[in-house]
Amino acid sequence: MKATPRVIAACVNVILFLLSSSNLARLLILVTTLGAWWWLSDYYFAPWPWWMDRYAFIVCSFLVLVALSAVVFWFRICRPALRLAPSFDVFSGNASDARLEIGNWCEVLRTIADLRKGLWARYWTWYRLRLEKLGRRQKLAKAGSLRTIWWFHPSACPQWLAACCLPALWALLLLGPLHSNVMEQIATIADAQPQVIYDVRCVGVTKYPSRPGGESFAAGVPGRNETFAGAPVDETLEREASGFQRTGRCAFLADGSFEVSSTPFPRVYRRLVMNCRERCDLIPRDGAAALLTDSVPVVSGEASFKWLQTSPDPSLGMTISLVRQDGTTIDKVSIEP
Amino acid sequence: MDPIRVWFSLISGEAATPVNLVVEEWPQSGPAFLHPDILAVAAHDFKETVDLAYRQTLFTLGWPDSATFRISIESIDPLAFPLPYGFEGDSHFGAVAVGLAQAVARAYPDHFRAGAKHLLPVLQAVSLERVAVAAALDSKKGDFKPVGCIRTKLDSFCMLEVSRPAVCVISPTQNLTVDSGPLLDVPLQNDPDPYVSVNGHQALPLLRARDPIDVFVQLWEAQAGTFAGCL
Repeated sequence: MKATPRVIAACVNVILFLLSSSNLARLLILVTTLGAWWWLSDYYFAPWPWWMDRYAFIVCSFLVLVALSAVVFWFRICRPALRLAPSFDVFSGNASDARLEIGNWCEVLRTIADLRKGLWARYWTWYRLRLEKLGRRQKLAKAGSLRTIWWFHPSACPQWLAACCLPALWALLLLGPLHSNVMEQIATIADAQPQVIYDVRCVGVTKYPSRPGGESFAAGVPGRNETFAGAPVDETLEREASGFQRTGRCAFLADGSFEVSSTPFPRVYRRLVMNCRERCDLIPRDGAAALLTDSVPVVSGEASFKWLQTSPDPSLGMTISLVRQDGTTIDKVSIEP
Repeated sequence: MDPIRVWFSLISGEAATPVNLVVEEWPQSGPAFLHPDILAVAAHDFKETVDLAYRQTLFTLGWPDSATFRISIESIDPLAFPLPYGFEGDSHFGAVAVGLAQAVARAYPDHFRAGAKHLLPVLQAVSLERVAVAAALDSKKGDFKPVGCIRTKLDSFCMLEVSRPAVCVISPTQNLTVDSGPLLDVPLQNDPDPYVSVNGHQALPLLRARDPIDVFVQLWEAQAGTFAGCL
């Protein structure tokens, strides 16, 4: 067996040993996986791609498993083995070509396990038990093939099942609606600022000389000299008791987008739910058909969505709600007219 | 059973010749015997030593009822190191005893004595192909005793460049600072392990063992250390 496959096979054995026989390793990986999942499922890393929020805990968990296995492999198996190697090699060729009966290999492994204590002894004892479970003590085997000779034997099922528990846990956490909202509670308690929608910015370009069904651009609205078809609009809506008021040039937009800002810290999972009440349509980002109700994620306290006025009634009749992951509403406002 | 080979060194005149002792299974009952070609030119003490090794194996480990083992000697390199014309001395005892012990363990494990059964895996698994033995028998204790001309013998192993033993087994009481034999004017080595050849060849690790079983136990542990790196 060449060096790279040999090292890979040895690492797989170490992983199987850790996942099937080491309670400490299993606990560490479980805690790390749950911790990463909880952190990432409750807390945004806004600059990341969206899939990182969903899958990054698997990456974390896998990296911990690999790092733990690498540390055990090198510091607990390889390095002690190098130190234990005698100053002479009695084999004329490569030691990994030596052929012995499985029973004799078991005795070799028993002797190796007795050379040191701790994880070393436990690993080599585990290794010996795998070979003993094969039940073919008379069978000749090369040293190089011992690592994998037991992999596909029925007696190896418990080891592989133990190894499968980790992907099963990943799948459970990935597929199950198991968000804890702990971070949401922390945010509510810890953040000094109110948990509301702060601002709504209206962004768009005018297309008509007058707003649908309403007055002309030239009929006395502020900045009327500049309002004409194709004029850019970018202004903040004023918040009053009844909600955000679509005044100024925004009132002349028949379509555009609203950029909503909310409490930015901590970056918990929240969504902005928009409802048009049949006077407007919401345009999804993916180009799908327009909707009357839609929601977008609030990332770093920011969310935006596109809308299209469909009624000649100047009133937009839109409501926007800031909701938590569990569906409870934090703040609900309307955008009028 | 594949033939078992163990290194040892034969003194001939003022020089030592590294050779392989070969133990082969032979289909007839009785004690271990020398190859006729060797037997014809072997001195009495040489033949007697083979018999002692056989008897020690018989009494400590066991012996098959229906078979025996033939002992022959192979030259490492017939041109560079031709076999001597005659064989004498007792320093091959260790090699014969070790070879016979492994031969019985590998070919006839069922004939092992009950008290020695636990040693079977050790005797079967140890690789002797690069092990040299330079030890005689202390007939009073049954242990290894020092051999003469040890430096000459060790030097003969060191001179080999391509194929050479990895380790040489000697008696625990073997003194490398006192030599006997024809090369008395050679400076003696104070540091006993590993042996450094006077000719500046690569050093030869030494293993001090009490008896053949001790050889296997020590080699087994060393071999386990080697295997730990490749399993």
